[in-house]
Amino acid sequence: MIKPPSQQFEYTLIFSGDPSLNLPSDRAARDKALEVARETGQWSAILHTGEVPTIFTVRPISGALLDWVISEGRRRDLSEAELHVLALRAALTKVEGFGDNRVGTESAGHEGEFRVATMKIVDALYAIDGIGRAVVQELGGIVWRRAIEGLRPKS
Amino acid sequence: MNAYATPIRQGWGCGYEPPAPPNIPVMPWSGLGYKGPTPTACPGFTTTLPETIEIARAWRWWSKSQLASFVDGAPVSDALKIGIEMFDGVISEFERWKMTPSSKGGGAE
Repeated sequence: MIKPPSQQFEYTLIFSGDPSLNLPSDRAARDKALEVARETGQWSAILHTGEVPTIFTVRPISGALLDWVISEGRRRDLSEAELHVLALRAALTKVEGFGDNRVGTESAGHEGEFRVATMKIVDALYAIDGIGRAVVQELGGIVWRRAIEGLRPKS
Repeated sequence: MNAYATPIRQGWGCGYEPPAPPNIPVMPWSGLGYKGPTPTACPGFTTTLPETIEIARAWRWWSKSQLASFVDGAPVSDALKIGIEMFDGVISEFERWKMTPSSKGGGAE
């Protein structure tokens, strides 16, 4: 189920290369259509009729969880791509329309105080033929930027 | 939504349209005493975004000391806190304008 963007509750993301999306071929128009869908949560306008995309449900990364992700990045000297993976694991709670794949979780943090997605689902995403890395990096990049940039209201 | 031509909507800063080309001046509506920087986006778009509505709803619960109920007892995210603070400031600004006589640039009759 598609959930609108939120700063507090779970929301959903769809990969820009999902075959169910009916996007303009012009790059600027395509980017704008995706931007609008991500801002408004209105994906139906850019979906092929009758097609269902793979839906990723994520939670905002905030508070102590965000501090832990940032600190892990420093402790382990993670690259930007690796941070995106970690951020995606911290944010991802559910995947729909991705075969039998489910999001499993494991403890993280010094005392196991956080639950993050296991690498199994990330590895399954990476294994998508031809676009796996793009899926992980795009979704991970989105949740990471939303976390570190905070509220950036339009005016 | 599409009753007006794209260039007109671009001139209003419509969030559904691509950015206006340089030959179209962007002048979104602003009023009700607003004196801040010139807006860049149509308030009809920004005020109906899910996150704007979420902050407005959270502000309502916060104003009744019930924010914990709104977030189902979970920790309030940093962004939501900031959003509530910003929204509360805007509400105060609007109320100040509403109580200022129109002869002094306010909205009171």
